Amino acid sequence: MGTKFTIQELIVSRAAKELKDREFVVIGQGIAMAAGVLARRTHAPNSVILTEAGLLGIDPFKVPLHIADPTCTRGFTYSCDMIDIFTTVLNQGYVDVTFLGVGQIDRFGNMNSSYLGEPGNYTTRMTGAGGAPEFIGYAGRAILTMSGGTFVEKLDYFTSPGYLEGGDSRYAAGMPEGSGPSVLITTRGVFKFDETSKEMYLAGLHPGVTVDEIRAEVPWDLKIADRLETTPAPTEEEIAILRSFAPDITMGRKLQLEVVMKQVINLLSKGA
Amino acid sequence: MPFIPVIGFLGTDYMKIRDDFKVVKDPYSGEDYVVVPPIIPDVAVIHGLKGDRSGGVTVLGARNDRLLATAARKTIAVVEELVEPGEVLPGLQEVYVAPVHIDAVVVAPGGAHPTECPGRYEIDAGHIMTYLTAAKDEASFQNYLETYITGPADHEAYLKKVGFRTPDAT
Repeated sequence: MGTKFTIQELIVSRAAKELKDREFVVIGQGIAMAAGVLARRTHAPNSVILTEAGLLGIDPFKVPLHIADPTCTRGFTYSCDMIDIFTTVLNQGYVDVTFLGVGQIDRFGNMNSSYLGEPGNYTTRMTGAGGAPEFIGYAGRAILTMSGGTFVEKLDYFTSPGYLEGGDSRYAAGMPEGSGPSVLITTRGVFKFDETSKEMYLAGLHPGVTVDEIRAEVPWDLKIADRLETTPAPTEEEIAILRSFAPDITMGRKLQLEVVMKQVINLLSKGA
Repeated sequence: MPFIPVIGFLGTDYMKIRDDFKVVKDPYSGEDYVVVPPIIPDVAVIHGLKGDRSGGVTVLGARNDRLLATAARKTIAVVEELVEPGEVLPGLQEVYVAPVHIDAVVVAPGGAHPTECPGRYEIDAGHIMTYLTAAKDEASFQNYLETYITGPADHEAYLKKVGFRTPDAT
């Protein structure tokens, strides 16, 4: 039996596979940064991670606490400021991929990461937009992750554009041809977007999850791919990388404690 | 700069809650763009590595400290080390901020505490937790201020109070 892994590790490992070698990818923090670093340390060593704060080519040694965390200064090859990032870097089309965590998402991949409830009278204040609307507007494509978020018919708040009303509406509104969310990875499965209608469909299931469980979470009549992929379990190598880079994010406190205890017991028994 | 154009906000709900975000037509292409006004801080406080008496400083990493210094009416640079003029040369991965943007240089080793100064000292996660816990209610926050901010006579007393140690000291 393989090493026990968490759902966060499965999401990170699946998200990392979406990144190709030699791509420019803008990443914030948390799960997304863990996925970017995992990709760089496995199949995409020449990909370039950049941060909204202005550092390109970073090689962080732990998950940054925020976009300007000096943790990100390790290994950077080019330093600019936020205005450069949003003008000469993003708007010139240098950013291939953006990663984004989502709070609410609709059938065309439009996103809310700001408020649950009315903005003036909200029940939950989420992280907000940051640079998300611009990155998702102008990066080549977007890789979305959602853990704890929800699928909705109508967003409580429209933070970032997906495919707007579907079809060509995103490109008619002026965003670059071919851009937009390419995949959404949740705690239960993998979703993609129809090439023509741009409507979200179920493309894959995590191990042990059923289509009915997914349908129960989605308020519209979700389309299902003819062939569903099953998300592969993270490999031993991937788990080892994630646990040294981002143990608190990917393992959770309980498993982290279990693993540490096991290591201590191993050490003690070797010493005896 | 009177304003800057940003792309990506058109059609989002930001346009409903931000009166100061406006839509203008690009006079060259005819396309609509959202423009946002500048933020002009009265005072910016930035943290640097080295500074000299003329006001030149070096900071680590991204160029946003320089951006802040250029945006603010007055800028105070807190530096780890005072050096002779001519020795404020940015090292690899450092950025130079010129005296024209700096109004005061304060020499305070450990001045970034409880956040980190890479290469010199680490983030003090324990103290940040202390702060976050204290900030939850008014009484404990006042207590925090008295213990760490208004209580200590000077910066050295503060560092002593929080148990700050530079790598050299250990």
